[in-house]
Amino acid sequence: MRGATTRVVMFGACLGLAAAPAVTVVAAAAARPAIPDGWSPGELATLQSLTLGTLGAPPRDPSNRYASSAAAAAFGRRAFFDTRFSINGKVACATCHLPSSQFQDGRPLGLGVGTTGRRTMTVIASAYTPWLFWDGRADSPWAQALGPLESAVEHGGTRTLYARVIARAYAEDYAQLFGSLPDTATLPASAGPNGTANERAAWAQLPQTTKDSVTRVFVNLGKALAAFERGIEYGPSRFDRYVAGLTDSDGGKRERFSAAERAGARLFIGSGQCVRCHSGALLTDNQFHNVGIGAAEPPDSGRILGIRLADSSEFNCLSRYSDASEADCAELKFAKRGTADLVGAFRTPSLRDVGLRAPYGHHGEFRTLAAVLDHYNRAPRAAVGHSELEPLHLTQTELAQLDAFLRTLTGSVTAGVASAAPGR
Amino acid sequence: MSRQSRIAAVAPRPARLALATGAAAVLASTIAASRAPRTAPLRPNDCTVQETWKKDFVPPETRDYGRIRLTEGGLYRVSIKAPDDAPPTGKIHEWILHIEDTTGVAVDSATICVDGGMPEHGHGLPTTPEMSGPPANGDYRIEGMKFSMSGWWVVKFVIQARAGTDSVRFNLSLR
Repeated sequence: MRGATTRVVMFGACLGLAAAPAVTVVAAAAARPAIPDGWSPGELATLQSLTLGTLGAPPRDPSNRYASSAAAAAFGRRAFFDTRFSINGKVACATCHLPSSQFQDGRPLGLGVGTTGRRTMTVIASAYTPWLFWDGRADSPWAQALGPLESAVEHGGTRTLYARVIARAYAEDYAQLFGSLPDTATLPASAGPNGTANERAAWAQLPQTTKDSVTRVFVNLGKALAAFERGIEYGPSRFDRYVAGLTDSDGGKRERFSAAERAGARLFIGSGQCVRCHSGALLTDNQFHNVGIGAAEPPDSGRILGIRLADSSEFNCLSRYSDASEADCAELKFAKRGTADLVGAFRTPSLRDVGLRAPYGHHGEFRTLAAVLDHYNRAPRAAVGHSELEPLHLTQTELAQLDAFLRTLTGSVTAGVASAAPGR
Repeated sequence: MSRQSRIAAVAPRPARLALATGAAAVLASTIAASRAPRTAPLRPNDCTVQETWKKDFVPPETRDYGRIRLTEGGLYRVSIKAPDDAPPTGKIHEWILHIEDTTGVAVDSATICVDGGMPEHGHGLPTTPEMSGPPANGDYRIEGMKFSMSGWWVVKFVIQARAGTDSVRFNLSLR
């Protein structure tokens, strides 16, 4: 490698990519006053890259032609809170994704009709990630929304049950948005391809055209739910205001950080190495990492299985129910598959509002942020696959500083459709 | 066999990749082998270098960020072109890889596989990029490139053409 490097230098053709930012930084430093709290220009740039102001609007979702429809979002909002979309009439999306609790439930494992196998993820800012669920087995918010509806331990319902609920309670709104409903009067009360043995048998007896039309209703329900969720976003936090104040000429009004919070921020982007995966305005790289969290029994293989499930999903980007062209499905087409680093790897969660979202980990393994930080500091071996972590050797004081910093990431939650409260 | 079908036959398809149990041994031998020209056909794992990131660490002061490099065995001169000169983060995009022989003649008969990652973080690319379509005047489209974050990335290409198989790595400093 060294030899090759020398030869290339002799060609005199190197563009010197690393040198360009350095020149910019030096020029900027000469022209500006010192940055408050002793931040270097490079550190400031990293801090700014984590602020909400850099986020922008959610990327378009070509797989859902209703993603930006206000009418679909209003439909989805009603459905989100409607417990009729469950086998026992008691479970809605909002049962586990509580608007008053960061759109999650605060439990180690979700509790719907039964108990789920993993921690409930928040739906805030879900429009920004190409992969949904801890293992990324859904590649769009609408495909994600359909999963729990057919899960035996979440909503526990079926496609014909949901079509009948829509025909009964949403027929007019549905028709205006999606066109006419199929005849639901003759459908079995509860039948679907992922239900109980009886429900699957009832589904199997339906004509293919009926299966298709009922599944289309089910898909449209998911797309409306996704349109509602698309408007649920994080609001600015103390951290965002603090970083904005670092370049604000009116220093007297800027947000202040305590010494511990400043030290924690420095650790976060420095020796704590948190920013390696918790990067960008949402403090997540939206990728999958094995960080040694998860017990050996029952083993949870994470992304290595998640991408297989996404590939075989009847609702993925390339499916007949997707509105995307093949060219729009690059994330699915080029997703990494079958490599050892995907074993026991899970999606990096956003750290926005993290102080309000205990417990932590994909099984809710950690009750406190301090316990999470202790895990990262020790970097134990993974029970499944191989952890990317190495011990950080931070002191208890430094861990407390990181804890203090993480709590500055708390802000308000905004919902795009009037409010996230239930309504009709 | 036409040039295009030869490319299609050899280029790895992500869906065909099997779980790389025992990857370390395969990868170690892959890296060792890639330092010398070879003639054996490229295999899907030929580009996978995830388990060797720590060995690949290069101190910041000695990293070469040049966009034109000689392959490690000296067989080809390779240059990369990303959109807007600076590859984006968090977004799938494509690169153009240009391959010449050491006399400056464009190489249009190559098969290529791609891998990369962050040596300091121990993780690879979030995607499995692929060579796409037939080359033109030594230019090869590489689709599915994605970098999940800013920082130091290494992208490795294994190139197999008439002169033999050789590899080249590019350093990137993404902001």
